[in-house]
Amino acid sequence: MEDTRLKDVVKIEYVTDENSVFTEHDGYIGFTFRPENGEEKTYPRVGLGRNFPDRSPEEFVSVLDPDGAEIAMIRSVGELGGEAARIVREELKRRYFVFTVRKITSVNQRFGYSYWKVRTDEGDREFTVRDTFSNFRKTGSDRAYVTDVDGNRYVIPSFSSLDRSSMKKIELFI
Amino acid sequence: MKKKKKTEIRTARDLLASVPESSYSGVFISAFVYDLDLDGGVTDGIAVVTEDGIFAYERGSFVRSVLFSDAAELEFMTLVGACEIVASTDGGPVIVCRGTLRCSDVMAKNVRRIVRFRETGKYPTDGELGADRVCPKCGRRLRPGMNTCVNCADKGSVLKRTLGMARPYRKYIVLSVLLFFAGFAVNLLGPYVNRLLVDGYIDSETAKAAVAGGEGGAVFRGFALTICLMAGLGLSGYVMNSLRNLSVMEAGVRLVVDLRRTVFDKIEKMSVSTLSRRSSGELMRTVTWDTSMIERFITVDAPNLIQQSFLMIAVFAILMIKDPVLALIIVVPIPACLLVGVRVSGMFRRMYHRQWHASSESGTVLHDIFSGIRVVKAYRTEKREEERYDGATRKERDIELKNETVFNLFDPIFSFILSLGTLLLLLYTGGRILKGEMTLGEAMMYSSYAGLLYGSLGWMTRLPRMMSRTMTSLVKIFDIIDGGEDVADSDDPNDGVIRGEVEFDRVSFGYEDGGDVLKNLSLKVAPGETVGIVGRSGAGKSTMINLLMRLYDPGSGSIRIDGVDLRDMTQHSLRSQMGVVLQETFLFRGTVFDNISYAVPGASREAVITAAKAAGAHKFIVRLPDGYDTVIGEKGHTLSGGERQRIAIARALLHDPKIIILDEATSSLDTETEHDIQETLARLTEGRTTFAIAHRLSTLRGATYLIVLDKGRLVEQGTHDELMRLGGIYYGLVMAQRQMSKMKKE
Repeated sequence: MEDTRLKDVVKIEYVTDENSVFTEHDGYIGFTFRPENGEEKTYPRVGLGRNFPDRSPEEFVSVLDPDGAEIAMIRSVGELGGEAARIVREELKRRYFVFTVRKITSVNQRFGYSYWKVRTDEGDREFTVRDTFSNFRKTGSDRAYVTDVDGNRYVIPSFSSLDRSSMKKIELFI
Repeated sequence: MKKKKKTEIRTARDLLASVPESSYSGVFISAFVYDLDLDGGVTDGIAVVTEDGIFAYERGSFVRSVLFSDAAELEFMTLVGACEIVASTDGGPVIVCRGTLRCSDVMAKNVRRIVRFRETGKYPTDGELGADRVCPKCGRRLRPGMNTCVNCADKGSVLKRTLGMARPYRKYIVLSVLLFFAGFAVNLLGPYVNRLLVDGYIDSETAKAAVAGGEGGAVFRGFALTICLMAGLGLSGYVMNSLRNLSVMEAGVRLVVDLRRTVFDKIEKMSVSTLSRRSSGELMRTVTWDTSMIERFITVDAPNLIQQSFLMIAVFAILMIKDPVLALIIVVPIPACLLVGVRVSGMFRRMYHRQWHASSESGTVLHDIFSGIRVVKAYRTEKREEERYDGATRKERDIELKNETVFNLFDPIFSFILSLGTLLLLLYTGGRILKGEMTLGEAMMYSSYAGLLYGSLGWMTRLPRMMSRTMTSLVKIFDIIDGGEDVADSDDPNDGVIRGEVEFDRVSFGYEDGGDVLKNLSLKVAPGETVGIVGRSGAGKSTMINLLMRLYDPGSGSIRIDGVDLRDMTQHSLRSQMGVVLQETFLFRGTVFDNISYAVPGASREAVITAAKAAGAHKFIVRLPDGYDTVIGEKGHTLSGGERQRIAIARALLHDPKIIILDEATSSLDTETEHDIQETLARLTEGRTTFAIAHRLSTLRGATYLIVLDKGRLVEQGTHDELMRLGGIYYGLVMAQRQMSKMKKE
């Protein structure tokens, strides 16, 4: 079905240990890259963008210049060398800030909003969700995330790891 | 509980207390909180802004600072689930602080203020420390666009205001309550008369003896009279009930129309930025559903609540006076009922909520498939879509089946418990009758009273659900009614016919929760000039137009027409002198004539035809079988994109504006048609100040001069020739387009 000729027209520049260097700074990363048919260039600060944040957060990660244009693509963070992979992973953690929910203490629904109290890896949090049904997104058979009124995300990494009482509180939305 | 909340929401003031004044330099200006450290972990952070720079503290200790003398530029950026303030210095970027999106408003606002401070030396304040986003009562953050915290909405005052809305209809409502009490008396009399009938005639030894003794006439007359009395009571009850329903309906219908008008007016007055935060579905639901919920509450539920309470109290009082033991027996099942009610109602609510969602889901799937039917057919995915819809309906069916089963198993519990009460009553009264302490009539009377009491009780069990639904609607409606107009007309407007001199004076603007889209833009346009606005997508072209139309107010700086700030003109006066043609045209359902004369309702047919001719629309309108009477819009005659565009242009031309805005107005036309219209447009824009945005640069040939926007800044300005000589962004764009047309020719 796929048109293989497309590959001849459009090329994805992949990051490898040979053609790139990631550098670490105070809270951000720099990047030096040599495209296949081009000159090496150093970017003082680059961003990272996951192309499949739900399905595979460590695969197909774009390296972006400050204007958001793609410089290159990381096919899989694991394919990079240890040091580069570590820098990339840390930057991803900074770029994609989510709370990882381990326990749901309470969910109160009132007047179209729901008020949540949860225990996360980052500590106890309380947040408010507007229109809970549309802001509770299942991203697989076993995982989901909730987006609160501010836009913060609370990821439930695995339903099966939740205790029974937590599960009961979110059953309605699944 | 309360204490915990307080500790979670740290205010800038609390955190500031831990920062020693000696640890930063410069005069203190402001401070704001943030909550992430540079490694992506949660922290308690506070940034102190002084005249010298920004100083960041995390968990009570100093972490980093950026001096304004080193930082060329300060920017607010949004990441995923987080945001940050970045300073660009000679030594590369420096991240000042990071926060979750909870802090984004405050951080973005502070960056804007600091940028303004560095430009003007003045620090704009509106409220302090950005604490204005939080509900003053519970500390929960208020959603932009929401003015009342749903959680803390003072329920008493909400109810009072709601009843206040009923004021104009109070005569109907008072009448209905009076009628109710009359009917109520009849209701209470019913069981009593019933008892007279039984004890005085049917089950009366004296009556039987009298009939046996041949004096039946008087007895039968009395008997018939009592029956007539019952019939009379029944009839008057019926009449009063009907009258009451009529007056309730009268009040309700009037009220809901008024309420809808109030809400609708308010929505129309909302600024685009407020409107864009709400979906049109949500707004429609508020205008239709929420208002009718309130109507129901005022006219039906609130009076009912008063009435049922009275009924319960009265019946209970009568019973207490007549027979306290019996009264207590009757109330025995009530606690059980309440207990079950609380348990079951939560369950039912969840069940039906789920069902409602499943059904709305299958509706959405259907809508999705139908609106994309051309794609579905083109990719031959009918089968798959069929399965998708099938899956959704099947899920809905399963949930509904389950719900109905559960409901029918549990709902009768109430009647069962209440029937237990009736049985208890029977046991007691039966015993008394056997002992000769009570007559059959009395027993029947009591059981009727018990019936009345249980009836009210049954109604009361639905009360919590009804109240919560009503409150939801109420809060939504008041939120709209109370909402301030963020683009408000000045109290002392300075209106008049404008000449069309437009000046942008150091205008900066950012949409909510994001960085600035326009940065310090200054531009002066003389009356009658045509300005072509050029730039890549996202450069801020449309934003500039939105500000000129005053759909938004600038974050800082001002826009003046003939020297008058837009904020000092009424929006009505301003827009009535502007003609706008947008890329996406919206045609209302109506005839071609109606659509062209939309802004000038009384326009003559001649004027409309002239405008249509000028816009190049007349040509195709003539060919329509129904001419200007052709119904267009949804479900009407289908027009092509170009035809719709020409009608929109005619609409703008008819209106004879002083300022014309063309936002990609001719982009959906073919080159030939565009050429036709260009000439008319050129003639028409003569003497009118015109702002034209176009990607196709050839469209802007007629412009007096061009401005080029890049990332919100005005970077180039001049005539086509001047800009070509400059060899900057504009040159690049022109060259790229030439390349394209060359390629097409080859």
